[in-house]
Amino acid sequence: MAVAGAVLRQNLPGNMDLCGKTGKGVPEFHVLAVDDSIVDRKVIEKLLRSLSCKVTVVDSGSRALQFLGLDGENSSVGFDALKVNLIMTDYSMPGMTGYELLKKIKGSSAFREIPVVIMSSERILARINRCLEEGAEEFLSKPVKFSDVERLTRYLLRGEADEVSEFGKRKLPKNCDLEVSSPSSPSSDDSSSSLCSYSRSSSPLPKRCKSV
Amino acid sequence: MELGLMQRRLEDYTKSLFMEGLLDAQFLQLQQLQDESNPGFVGEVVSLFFDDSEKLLNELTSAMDQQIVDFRKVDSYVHQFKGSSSSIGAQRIKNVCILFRKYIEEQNIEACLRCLQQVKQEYYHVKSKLETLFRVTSLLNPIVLKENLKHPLGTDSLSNLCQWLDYFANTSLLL
Repeated sequence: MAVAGAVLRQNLPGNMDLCGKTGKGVPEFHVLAVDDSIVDRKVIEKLLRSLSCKVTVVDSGSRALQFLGLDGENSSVGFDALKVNLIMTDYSMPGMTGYELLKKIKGSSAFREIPVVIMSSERILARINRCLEEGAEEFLSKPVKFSDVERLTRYLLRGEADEVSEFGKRKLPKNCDLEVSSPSSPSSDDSSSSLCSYSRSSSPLPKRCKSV
Repeated sequence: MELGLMQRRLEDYTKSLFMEGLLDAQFLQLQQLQDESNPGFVGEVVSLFFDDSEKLLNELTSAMDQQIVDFRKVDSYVHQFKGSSSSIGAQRIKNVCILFRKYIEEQNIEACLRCLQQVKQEYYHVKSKLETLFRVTSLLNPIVLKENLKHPLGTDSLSNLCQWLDYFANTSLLL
């Protein structure tokens, strides 16, 4: 597909190396991706690798737990598993759903701090709400695009706190109260619509709204 | 010069797949991800899609063929097919799957059987177009071209190549 690709390819954004080595000894970010679809596994792996992330891809929730050492077996946790920086999981999977996996991860003292992102082709509000309430950072619509993953890795892995997303929690600056109900980032642009901040304790879904 | 024109023909062919609605923006995403470190990426994903889809279509056909149709099972297969086709940008397949799921919900067997037929047609249609696309693309690679002139090609690749060569013969280009 080189020819067609060359013609139709748009320039990918500069500074592709968002996750990875800067040559100054900064370690790679390690993402664990979970999806039962072989096609989606291939695509998500490539998306993440193109952002210079280290990627581990598994095909089920139970394999993800196995990898993390949370499967209740007396397997020793692999060294790799200790350094997972982000978990991206499909929602609809046979056996264990992404939601069930999310709960297990958030229920573990060792891994609850790892951000978890849910991916789904179905935008069911109750489902999205449930995932966010359970502690998912973000809910991505499938098919997942490069720009989604790039934005995600930028704010989740590099801690660039100004990013908001359609279905994610607003990352507030450190000196802000979690209960504040209007956007408080000093760099937010008043002329563009911005999300109201969303605290875990309340259930309404963040909606696009103009800043007051 | 000849290679340039062939490349343009290939671009036109690719463009036509988008114009016909066979492919959507997600396919472009895949092309954008392809680079020198992984020049076969799109081909690999599509190949996985083909293998996966053949299995799914077999399971789906078998499930629809049962005396008592298990609609939950059927729905699960169609959902998977919708997902994978959407991931590679196979828009028409995806759209039929959406319709299919509606009829599954209604448990309308007749309509489901029609959708099954339609989804197979769309699948084989896009498969054939993509296979042609990949074959011609690889033939444009001068090294591959040189090799293929030495060895016999399979009959279907040969007929595709002949179509392209006829085209260029008619436009007075020499290969």
